[in-house]
Amino acid sequence: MWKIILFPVFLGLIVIPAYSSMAAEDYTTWPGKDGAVKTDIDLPVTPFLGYGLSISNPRSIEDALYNIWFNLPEKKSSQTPSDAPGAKGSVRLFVYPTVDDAQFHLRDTIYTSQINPKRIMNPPIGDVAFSYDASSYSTIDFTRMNVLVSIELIADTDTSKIFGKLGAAIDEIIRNAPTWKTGDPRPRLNITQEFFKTFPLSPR
Amino acid sequence: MNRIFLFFILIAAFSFGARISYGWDLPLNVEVYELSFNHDTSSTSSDGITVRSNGGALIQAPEFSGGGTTNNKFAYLKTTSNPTVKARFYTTESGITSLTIFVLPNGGDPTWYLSSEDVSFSSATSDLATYTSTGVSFPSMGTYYTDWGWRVFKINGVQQTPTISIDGTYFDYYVVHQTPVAPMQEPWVGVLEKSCTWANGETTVSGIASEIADNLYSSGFNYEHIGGRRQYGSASEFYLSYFLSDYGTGAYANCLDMAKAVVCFSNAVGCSLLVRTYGRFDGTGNPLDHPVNCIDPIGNISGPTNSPIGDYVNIIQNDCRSADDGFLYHAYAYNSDAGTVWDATLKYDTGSDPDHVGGSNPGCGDITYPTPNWTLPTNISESSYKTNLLDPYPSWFQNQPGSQNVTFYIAP
Repeated sequence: MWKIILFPVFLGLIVIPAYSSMAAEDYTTWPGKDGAVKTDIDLPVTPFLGYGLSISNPRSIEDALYNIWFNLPEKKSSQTPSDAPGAKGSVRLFVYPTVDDAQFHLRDTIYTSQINPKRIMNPPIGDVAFSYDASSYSTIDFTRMNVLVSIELIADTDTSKIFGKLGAAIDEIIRNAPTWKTGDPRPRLNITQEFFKTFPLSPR
Repeated sequence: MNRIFLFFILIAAFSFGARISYGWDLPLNVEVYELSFNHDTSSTSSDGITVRSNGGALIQAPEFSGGGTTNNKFAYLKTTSNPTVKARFYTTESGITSLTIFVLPNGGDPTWYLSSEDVSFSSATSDLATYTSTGVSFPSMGTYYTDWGWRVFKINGVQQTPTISIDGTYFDYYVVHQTPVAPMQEPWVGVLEKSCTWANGETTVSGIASEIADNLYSSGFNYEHIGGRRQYGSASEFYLSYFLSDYGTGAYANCLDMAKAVVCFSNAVGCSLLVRTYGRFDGTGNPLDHPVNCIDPIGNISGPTNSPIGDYVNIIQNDCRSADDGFLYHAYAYNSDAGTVWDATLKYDTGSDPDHVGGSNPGCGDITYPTPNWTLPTNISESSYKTNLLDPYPSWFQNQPGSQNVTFYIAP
């Protein structure tokens, strides 16, 4: 299903000259603006197992409250699990105070990247999503409500499996999180000691 | 025997009388309580410039206070000469109403010769005294130090021979080339520390920016080669605190991050550089039309490559490499007056075979193995820079790439 949805996007890359004159996305009209703001987003261990993840530089940034960088394993590592064949890359989650902030930063992430991700219309994950699929690397960036998720992979095999499974798991975690209410502390991720124990810290 | 006894009695009585009369004794308990170097924030002609601590908090005079409990850095413009320093002293001695205090320079180039000043005490802490200096001028930007021995010449108007040492102060400080420029118009000391060390003794904007770009290229950041993503904030912001804390750790950065860094570190000492992009940036303009020549990206993850994006990080490809493996845009620091470029993200090969491909156009050609001449782009005209960076064949889109100047602010 995932590949079917992405296929037209990948086909679009074949007509590369077309994007050179493509107008910038007007993020103010993106869907999901009226979505709830999520907070206390628990990161359970189970959905992240099987990718050989490690955590680096968990830190808060004032307007992107958390920047959690997961390192996927080195390419062709003997520890590479079957779900991530020959892959390495990163998963990053940013929690913003508002949906609009998250979407602004999605737009900015795309337009300050040195590659050229394409918008996925009616994406299977997230309110708004962009992806890029080249012969040796793939990326997907999406927002769900006030959370921005970026996954980058270098892989010599099909990466849609990782995007589909891990992306969908993260999307579900966000949707199931409590809704932020006026007077609550700023929206945040909850990263438990169990999570830190399971996925070791490593330098970027 | 009686005479000897009487002599000691008189000596004791005299000593006791002296203590009663003056209320102080040696060693004299007086210390430098506070010193202000940037004491007039509306002027820089005779005092320091406004600087901030890492994180952006304003450093206010007195920079040295509480007898050294607080000891902040300070900085001067290169054009400042013979600055004044404001001082306050503290004593636990009783009976002192005034001291004449001067400074004996113990070291520093230039040597600060400070005036001798009468300092009044109406309490344990003195009134503020203004010391003028002579002999102080700065030949160039850089890091400087001064070492002062503070001595008392008069106590309550009574000359002391010899003069009495009361305290010593040592300061490292910075001198910037010109008035700092946005977004570092009030530079952070962590930035000054690096810029003034790297470009110590430089006297030209081009020389300063070149030293800064060269050191940033060797700073331990690695090129983010998977998606070429910026790591330190959106197009309009720069998370300088995180950049400084990640310095030397092997963290990822892209060209936009490094261009912002060159601008920050250069403008902090008075260069007027800006971030400039070439290609499709922020959703506008045409993308770069050509692949890059063989480059050596910042850091040690990506080795020499003419395909810097994706998994071809150490691989030279022939001239059939696609736009997937090249840059959509590239960012660098730019002097708009001179039209010159500094790029701390990559070195390019200025040898005879810059793309490391031969026999192409038309066709894919063959990979070659020339002896490279890696060159960091510094103080080079923008047109020459583009010529050196980009491989004229193939042309992917037959479009003229766009250029943009990017303004940004410092995020905490």
